[in-house]
Amino acid sequence: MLSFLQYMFVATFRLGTPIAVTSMGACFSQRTGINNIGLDAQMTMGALLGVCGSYWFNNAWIGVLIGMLAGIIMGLIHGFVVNTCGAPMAVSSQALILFSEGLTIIILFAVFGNIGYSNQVASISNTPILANIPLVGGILSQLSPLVYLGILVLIALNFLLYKSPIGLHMQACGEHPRAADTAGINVTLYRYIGVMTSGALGGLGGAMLSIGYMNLFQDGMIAGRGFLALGAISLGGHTLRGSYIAGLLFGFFDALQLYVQTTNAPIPSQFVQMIPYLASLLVIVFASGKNSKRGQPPAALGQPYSKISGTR
Amino acid sequence: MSTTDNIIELRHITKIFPTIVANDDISFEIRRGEIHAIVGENGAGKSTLMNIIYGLLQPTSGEILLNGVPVKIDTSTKALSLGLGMVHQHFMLVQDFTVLQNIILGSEIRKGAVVDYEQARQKVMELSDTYDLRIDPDKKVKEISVPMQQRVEILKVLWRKAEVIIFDEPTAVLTPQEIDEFCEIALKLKAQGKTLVFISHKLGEVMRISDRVTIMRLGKVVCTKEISDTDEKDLAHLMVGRDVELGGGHREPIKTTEEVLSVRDVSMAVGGVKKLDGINLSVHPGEILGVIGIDGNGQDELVNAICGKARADSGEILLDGKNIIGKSIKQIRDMGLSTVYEDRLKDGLVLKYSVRDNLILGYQDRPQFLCKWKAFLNQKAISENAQKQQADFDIRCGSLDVPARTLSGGNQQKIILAREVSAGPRLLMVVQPTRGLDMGAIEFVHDKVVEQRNAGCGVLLFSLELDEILQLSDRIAVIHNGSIIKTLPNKNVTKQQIGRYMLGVLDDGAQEAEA
Repeated sequence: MLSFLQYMFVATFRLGTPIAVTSMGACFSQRTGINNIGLDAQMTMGALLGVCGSYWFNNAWIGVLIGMLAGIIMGLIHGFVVNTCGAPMAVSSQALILFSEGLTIIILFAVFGNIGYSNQVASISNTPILANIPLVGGILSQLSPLVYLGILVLIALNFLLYKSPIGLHMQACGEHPRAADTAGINVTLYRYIGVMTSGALGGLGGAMLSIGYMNLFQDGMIAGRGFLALGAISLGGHTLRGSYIAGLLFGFFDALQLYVQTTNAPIPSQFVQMIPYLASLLVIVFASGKNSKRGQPPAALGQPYSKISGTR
Repeated sequence: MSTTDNIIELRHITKIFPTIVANDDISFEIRRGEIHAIVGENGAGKSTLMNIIYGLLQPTSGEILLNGVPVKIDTSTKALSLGLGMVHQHFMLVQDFTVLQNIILGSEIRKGAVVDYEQARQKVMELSDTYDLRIDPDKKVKEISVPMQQRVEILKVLWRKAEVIIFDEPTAVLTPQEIDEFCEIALKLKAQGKTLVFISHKLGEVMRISDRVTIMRLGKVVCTKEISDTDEKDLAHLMVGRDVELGGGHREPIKTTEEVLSVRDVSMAVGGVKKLDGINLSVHPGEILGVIGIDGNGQDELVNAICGKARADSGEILLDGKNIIGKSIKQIRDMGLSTVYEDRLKDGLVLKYSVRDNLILGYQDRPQFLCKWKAFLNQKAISENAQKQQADFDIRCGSLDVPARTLSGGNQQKIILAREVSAGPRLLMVVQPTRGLDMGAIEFVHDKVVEQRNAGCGVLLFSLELDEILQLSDRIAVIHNGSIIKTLPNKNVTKQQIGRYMLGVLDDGAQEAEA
């Protein structure tokens, strides 16, 4: 029993943190008014370029940075298309996802000469320094330092968004961009910051999967986790902390699914693999009932803003 | 008078848009510490001019002098830094933020890296006490009333140390009582040395609080007058360019005791709250019954119950003697009810549709608009109908094919009125028919409503404007807390008397004297 709990604890954070940080980033972007639906694209690029970076420099930390950079570029493209050009956010996101799928194969082939998976590279899947802590050290050291980094980022972004003047400005951009503009706030700039932050965290989430948990990239390894992250935002009541916790909850179901698979229970594996997705669906259905008191998305979410014509 | 007594001086401001000259050689000055009203019809160029002063638009030519010095105001941030603040007609408030957050947004007090809400609250409260602007700093904006939202807007500009405050149609969204409060606030701001520029087309308030008034018409300044040298009638004449007569003019006396609408003991609860509580009223053919009351006393629910949007819980509503409770909106309309709804953009028009199509909206299945097995629209008949209505109702639009969205409020209302009247109703229900319209358009709407009355149609008028009720109604019904507490003929009644009824106070203790 104890080993089961231990397993679930470690696996929840391992599998949940990538979704949680991605979700937190997208929630942050939503707060400035930009809906970043193409999280899968950013996670895919983060995971792939993270592996590439680790391969080129033989250093997983540089891999993580390159993965985040890839996510930022994807976020920047989304920001340019929707923020500057005023295109619909869903179309831009869909295009980025398709684009990233194609690009994945090209990069895999160019770098590793393979189209399905990468070479094995340096990874950071545990934190040996924590092993010296009495009692819990054994468990904590099994987690990647990136898991702890995720929590630190949550604390930092939470402070930024809810306590600092910058955060107040950002939220105003998501709620009523015209009011923010007349108060002398640069709506476009803050929205770029929002969507690029989301890109960076999506890239980090992807890199966590490829080099923070495993040590290679497989085509299709993101498997819709970006969309789970999007669902986690509404489940989490559109707050950073809520999104993070909801992301971890999805990780818990994923961990459960893996555990059931190892028990050799007489259930077809395809059904077992459905657990996280079904569970997420059910949780969202029950959590977003009519009388739900959870928080609302920002009022101007998804509305492009231009100084001349306002929101459309 | 030396120039420095003029806080703002406009010199030959001209603004040319691709299709129209919005401001044509505008010159006048605003004195320090005065309340300066700018009046004019919709489209006279008032808002364009204010947007130029506030930096949202750039003039094509001309210059602005602030304290005698020429300035270039290219952004609203610049305007704020020069001490110019603007209270927009559509409030610039973040609904989900607290009052305090909205006031300090963009010019926060910081303590290290965080917003110092404690100190900000203290300073905002000092400011609000100075001007007697009662606010609740910790409530969210979405939870407070419209007048308090307006006070928050005022505090926003005061927080940014504005010396000149521009109000864009500040009373358009307020009820009569709230307008009184607004006037007091304006006078207080003036007493504290602020300069107020006040854009309006409501002349009552202009006469009450302004020191001087500039009249604009068709992009030009007609003149600037001391308020003591003018009166409402004179202003209306200058604004419109001719004499204006509200109230619809000549009336035929009513000859019948027959009732076209009779509402008996109607009660209705919405979401568990009793909104209508035993409503009784009747409308005769050839009369206008005006229903007046403070907003939210059951007017909306009564309108919905009559037009079929909502179903009354008990009682009966007889249209021409037949009970309509439980019938669909369409059935009721076919029985002879035409409605001009309060929100013309939401309930009256499909904004993307052409003027032509809007003119048959809801009547598109009537035989005169159909052809070929009644399966196709008869485009020729629809066009002819549109041309006729355009001529009869003076609908001004570039072409009948332009979307209704592109028309002014007055012309949009004319489309709706034309459509509903031409259906030949037995009862015409008009809800706030002149809200947001300028004087010329109000006069037109009044004329058409009285024309229907004279033709023998019963008219049920809902309005929040006491003046309008008094100008138009043959009889007045006062609604309070979901009941009609008083019905009286519109003869020798005073505003004060009706005002008391609206608050639920009956003078002689008598209940509901049917007139």
